[in-house]
Amino acid sequence: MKYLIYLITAFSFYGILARAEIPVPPPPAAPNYNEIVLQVNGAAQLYKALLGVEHLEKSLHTATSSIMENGKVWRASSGLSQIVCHHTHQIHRAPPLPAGLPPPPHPLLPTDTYSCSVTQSKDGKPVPQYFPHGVAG
Amino acid sequence: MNRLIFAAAAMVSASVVLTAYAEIPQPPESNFEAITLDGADAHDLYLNLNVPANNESANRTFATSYKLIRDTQGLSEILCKVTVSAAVENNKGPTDAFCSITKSKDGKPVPTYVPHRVGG
Repeated sequence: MKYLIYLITAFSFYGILARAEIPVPPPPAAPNYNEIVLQVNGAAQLYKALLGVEHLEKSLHTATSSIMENGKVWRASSGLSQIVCHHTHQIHRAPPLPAGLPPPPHPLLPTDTYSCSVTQSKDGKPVPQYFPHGVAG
Repeated sequence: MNRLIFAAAAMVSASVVLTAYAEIPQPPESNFEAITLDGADAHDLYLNLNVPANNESANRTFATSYKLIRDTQGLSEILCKVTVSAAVENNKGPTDAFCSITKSKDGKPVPTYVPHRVGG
């Protein structure tokens, strides 16, 4: 009799736990677009060739470097395809030298990096619109 | 006995078919990924690419031109091609437009676009 009570209690707890199970969130939906990411030379050429307003994404200045990131966006009027390009221009600065020391023999050259993302809808619905800084509106 | 012969013949036939299938050369998988646009979207992108347009072909009824951006290493290529009817050239959009953006998947150059030069 005692074991029967244990058994019933165990089943009851099992039932409560099973119902209280935390719902598993559905897996994130696959994006509705195909994407090609261009880097280096291909992206640089596309960035320079793409007409449109260049917008400032980010500007960061420190004692040793200065970084400016600009972007360009082309979006088809249908919204089914979009090109987003970024250009980062970084100027390196030599740290200040103690008085009396000669400047470094070679000036530090700026660094330019480019990237472009080309997206196209897979399902006939518009691709997510890109907004600078990831802020809508 | 007949069933045994039939079964053996069926197995031999299946084997021959499978062997023949295995020997058919499969088309090579492309080494690039591509996105293609057409219609108004392609025409819009064509207009938004600030590179010289090349005349591909022209005759009394149609004129085709294209813009091409190719990575110096050949790892990516953007081609936009527009065909305009001479009858509507001055007041309407193109009769046909197409763009493709291709990128190498394996670090080898993507196929380059070869224009079909017809007419003058």
